[in-house]
Amino acid sequence: MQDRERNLESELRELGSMIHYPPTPEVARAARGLLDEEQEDRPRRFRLSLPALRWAAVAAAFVLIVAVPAFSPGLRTTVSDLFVTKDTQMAGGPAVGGGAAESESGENAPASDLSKGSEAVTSPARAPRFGGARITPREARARMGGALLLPRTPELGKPDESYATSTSRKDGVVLVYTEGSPVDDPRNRLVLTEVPGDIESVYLVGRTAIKPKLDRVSVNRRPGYWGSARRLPSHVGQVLLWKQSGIALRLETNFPKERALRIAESVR
Amino acid sequence: MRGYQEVAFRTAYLITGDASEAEDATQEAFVKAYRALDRFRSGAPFRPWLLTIVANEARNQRRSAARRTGLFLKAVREGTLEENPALPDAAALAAERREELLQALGGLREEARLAIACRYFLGLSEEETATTLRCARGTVKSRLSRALRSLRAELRKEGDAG
Repeated sequence: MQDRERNLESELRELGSMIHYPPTPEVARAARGLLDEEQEDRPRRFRLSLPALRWAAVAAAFVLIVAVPAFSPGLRTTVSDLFVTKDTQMAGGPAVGGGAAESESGENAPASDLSKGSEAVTSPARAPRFGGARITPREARARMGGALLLPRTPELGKPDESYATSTSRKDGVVLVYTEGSPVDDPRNRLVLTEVPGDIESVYLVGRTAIKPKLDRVSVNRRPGYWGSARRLPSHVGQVLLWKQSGIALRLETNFPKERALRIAESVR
Repeated sequence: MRGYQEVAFRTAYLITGDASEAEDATQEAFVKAYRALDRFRSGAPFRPWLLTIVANEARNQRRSAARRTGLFLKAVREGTLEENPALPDAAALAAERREELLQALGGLREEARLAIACRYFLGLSEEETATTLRCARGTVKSRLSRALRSLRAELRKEGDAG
């Protein structure tokens, strides 16, 4: 016992050295990402607070779009090309209108398109419908009362596109992560929908029969559901539903269940 | 910042006893630290300054004191009570001694337990422990001294009972 009294401090040090801590997450990068996101919003506010700069931008745009092309045929072609490209992109981009849940049935969800060629899945005619109008991240945050929930796994980064949901009942947002793929390519993509309310009232209305067929899962000890596109409407493939901070969330992804759960558990 | 994320996360883990809460607390602390960098006194040690913010965030994730004690013990126990197959008897004895020590740690007040964790588990200096726990260095000294005395008394009691 004398020995033990003498060695108590070294015993505590030894005990500390034997602790297997969980792997350290990339918190520094995640924090940096959050701050970058904030900074991206900042110049917009700055611009709005300086009308003179706005007028300068308008004048510059006038010179570029109207005055210069009027005098230079070469430039005129280039500018008109730019507009043609833009129009094409708009036509091929996510359609405005139908709500995400209402837009596709289980039978024709893109999960079944995965075996087809990339040409087929990227065709503008087959572009998925994410919801309502495309909005900026700032508008998305404002739409959710400042409480926009985002996955914090460094692998995902920031959403590539944001849309307003167009369900008539509730406001909400749809965040699309493309991981560098074209936005209408369902491969390697993740779609996160956020609508205030309960899972049942937001995503399972009229679908009570499928509820028992979904896998029950736990997202940070919160109950949730995991199901395939055959059971739940999806732009991508598998669907994870859970509720967090009064928001009903739906994560659609082709990732395996474990990875989807890990991403869901990072949402805050 | 990245160089400090391990000690920061471990500090938060020892306070919250839960990996996901520790991650939340550390990330939030890093965001706050980035924002407060202009208030950081040049020339002052950075690690304890950062750990103060981390510890504060981790404490903000407070649950009941009883639960925190349980999580702290669970966090330490999970990683330390593995048997060594090469030396089963010695390992069993060492594991028994560690378990006794853990039980005794569980009987300490939270402030004393955190002082022990900072000083002996995370290897912080007394000065760093004081900054992290937002108290004077003398307070850390006295907390540690009292904690060690309590641990010895508890272990002696357990030894006598055994």
